[in-house]
Amino acid sequence: MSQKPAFKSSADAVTLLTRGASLSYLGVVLLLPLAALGFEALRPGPRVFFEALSDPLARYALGLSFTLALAMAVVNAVIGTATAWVLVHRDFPGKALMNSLIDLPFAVPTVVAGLMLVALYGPSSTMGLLLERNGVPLIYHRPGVAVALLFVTYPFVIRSVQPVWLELDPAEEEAAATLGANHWTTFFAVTLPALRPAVLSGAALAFSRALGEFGGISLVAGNRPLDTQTASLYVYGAIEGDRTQVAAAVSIVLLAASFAVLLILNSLQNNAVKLD
Amino acid sequence: MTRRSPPGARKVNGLLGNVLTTAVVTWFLVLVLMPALSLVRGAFANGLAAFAAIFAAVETRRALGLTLAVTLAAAAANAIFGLGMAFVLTRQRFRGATLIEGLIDLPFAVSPIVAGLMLVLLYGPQGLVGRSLESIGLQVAFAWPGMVLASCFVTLPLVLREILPVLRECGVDQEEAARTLGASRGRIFWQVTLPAIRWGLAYGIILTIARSLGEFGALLVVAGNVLGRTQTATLLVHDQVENFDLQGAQAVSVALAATSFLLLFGVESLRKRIAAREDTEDTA
Amino acid sequence: MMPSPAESWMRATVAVVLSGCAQASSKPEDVREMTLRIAAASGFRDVCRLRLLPGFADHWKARHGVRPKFEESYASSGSLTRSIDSGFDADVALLMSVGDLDRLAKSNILRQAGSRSSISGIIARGRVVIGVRPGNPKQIRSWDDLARDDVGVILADPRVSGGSRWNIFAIWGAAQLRDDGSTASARDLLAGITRRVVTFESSSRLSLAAFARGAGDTVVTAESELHSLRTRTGVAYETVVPARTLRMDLPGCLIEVSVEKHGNRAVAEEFFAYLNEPEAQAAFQEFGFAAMEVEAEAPTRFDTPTAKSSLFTIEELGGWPRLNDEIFGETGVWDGLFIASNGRGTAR
Repeated sequence: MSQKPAFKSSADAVTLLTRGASLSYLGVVLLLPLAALGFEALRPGPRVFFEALSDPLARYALGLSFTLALAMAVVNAVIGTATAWVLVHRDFPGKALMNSLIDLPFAVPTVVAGLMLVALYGPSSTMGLLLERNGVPLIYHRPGVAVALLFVTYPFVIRSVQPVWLELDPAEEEAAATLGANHWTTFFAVTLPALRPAVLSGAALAFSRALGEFGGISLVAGNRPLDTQTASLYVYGAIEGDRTQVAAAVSIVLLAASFAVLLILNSLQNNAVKLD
Repeated sequence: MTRRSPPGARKVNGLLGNVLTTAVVTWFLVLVLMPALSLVRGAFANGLAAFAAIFAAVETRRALGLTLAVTLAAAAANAIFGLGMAFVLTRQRFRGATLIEGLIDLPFAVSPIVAGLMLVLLYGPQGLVGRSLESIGLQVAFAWPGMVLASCFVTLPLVLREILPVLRECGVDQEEAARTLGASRGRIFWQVTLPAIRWGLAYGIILTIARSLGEFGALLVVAGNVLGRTQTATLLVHDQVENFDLQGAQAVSVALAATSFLLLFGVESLRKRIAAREDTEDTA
Repeated sequence: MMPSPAESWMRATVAVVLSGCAQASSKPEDVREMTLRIAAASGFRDVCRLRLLPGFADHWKARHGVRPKFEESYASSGSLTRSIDSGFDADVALLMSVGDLDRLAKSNILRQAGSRSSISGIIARGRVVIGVRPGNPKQIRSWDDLARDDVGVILADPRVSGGSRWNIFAIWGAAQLRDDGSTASARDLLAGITRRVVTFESSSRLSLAAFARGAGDTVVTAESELHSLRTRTGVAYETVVPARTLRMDLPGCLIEVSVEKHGNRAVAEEFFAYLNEPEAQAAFQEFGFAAMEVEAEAPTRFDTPTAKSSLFTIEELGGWPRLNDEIFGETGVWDGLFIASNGRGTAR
């Protein structure tokens, strides 16, 4: 039989074919469309590109989206980790049901998510009236946008932390406990470092999702410029309002930021894996 | 069930644990369960007959059928791509592999609206590539190929991300062993590699289906929304909201969400059950 | 923005519509399985589905023996225009704004090869009004009332919805005409009203849906839209016609590129001609639009006759392109309204 390692370096027909086909598909679905967007954004020259980005409305929308996305990452990191802990370590009636319903926000079409929130917390609903009377109106206000984003990003951290926590070797935690460490010390010194890559990866996905979310907030936000207009709503307005270049320019910024976060995260994860 | 640690070791009791549990469950109830229940209640507000009548309408059935077709096409395409790409990334070495792996996550970073815009810019009849495709009679944007492309785009990483770590972890040892024993490439794939990655593959496909059943933003830009032809279920929901048909919108939404949810739930419990069975077989 | 004044171009093309239909070729073999793809602004949805399409099908059948098939797409006028502009192959477009028609005309898809004319023009009229809840609890009477602190306003986003630009122009023009063409007072009124906006929905229909779900106290929209809202929901929302308001000219056009591609010129041209016939015009009127012959001076032909409401036209304000540039152009006042108020909508 052949002396060569089975697949690694053999550049036979099948190998080349798989590689060629996979890369072509990637090109057609992802890379070429991406290039088209870049082309559209930069075609009229860099001056127009930067002008589009210096528009106060665009800057505000980008700022709002980044703030919200960052908030989603942080909130989900904390609450998602806590939820995963509860699901792994605690028993309570209805736990199995809750565990199976965690994925619900993934299953609900985003435009429906917005509709649900409007129906439940909107101006004509009991909850909505109650909230409004207490001075915290949700729908058509920034807190409402945050709630919609919290809904669509809910499962990310939980679903990435939960399996890791299940597999976490209890021996280490126990060892720390027998050595007299209290829960908190154990948590911060032993558990958290082990969970960190999973928490980060979940939080980054939540960040990306929140940054670009459209369907979930289009009915909820109210779309008021310099108030509740997020970057995705701004881009939609620009696409439909015959300002494709503006849309492309803002999209590029959104995309680059979101991609950078994913890349940083990937390298953090890889480092963590290497350290193991 | 299998990897459960001995009870007691992890149980954290006391006030803090109770408070945390209450807080987490409340958060879940308010944020996820209550809106979902209100959606279901809305869908059945006028009774079961009215609910059924919505699905008897030709437009609803066509939209659901189209969504199903587009979803299955996208899932099939991405499953094949996911498999192929995973092999390329784990079993072959070439320049740019790291970059490619990074790029694959990009659709997660792209707003669906922007995804739609990209596809129209490129494949629209006025677009850079679309122009030549149009001249050979192939319409991509505002027709079903564009809708499949949009679904493929937003779900691109899902299958690959599920099988890549498994394929990486199980290494090539078994495959090489099989190969030394004279197994053909096809046999190695079916009997060695596929069993190892089947759950990752299944889960990835289910995630793809769930995601593309509910896709809205990209299709809004790319589909053209022709009733009965390019109107998918989520676009129908949007149409129903526009036409004050809240119950119709909620009914179709419930159908979509229930389908996705049952698929996700089904594959998860199947995986658990089979894992448990294999465990007992191993110990027996 | 637009070099050529749209309104003069429009008048020219209206003439072409009328002459164009006369020469509609009808090859007997072609008409058998003819399918017409119609893209209509959501505001035309009811009149299309309930009257125009069935009416035209009968009309066509009487002449050619078969019923044509329809493929329909309804979305906000701006969205449709963007789709058609980037290649969506509708044969006939019914739009809500002259600006959208201009946008299509610019990209050369409306003209036959070798011809300078296109089949397009105004197909119906309407007027901008204020919708209020039954009994008019906030006592809304005029545009100025919309700027009151206790009033929440619902608007479709004029950046997305072509139809909604009429709303903005109506407010602008009413203030300008009242105060002898003062731009400052028009700006003040518009600023006051945008501060009261609860939500900018992405289409006129969505703005009505939000209003029907309980958001805000008033919705600025076309009279025909309120007509739809009342029929669909069965709730007696009331129409308030301000003392001065704008006549909407709603355009339609034939997309030559698509007609060429589909080979259904006969049915497309005849449909377009049908829109101008008394039957179709009566249908428009039934659904809260105004018939074509309604002049600015004869508001009594409208759905809700109000004694002393005077209509002005877009031409009186300087025409669509100029006004559009003045308000939504690159140096237009629209974005500035929000920058000035620092986005602090006080709306509830």
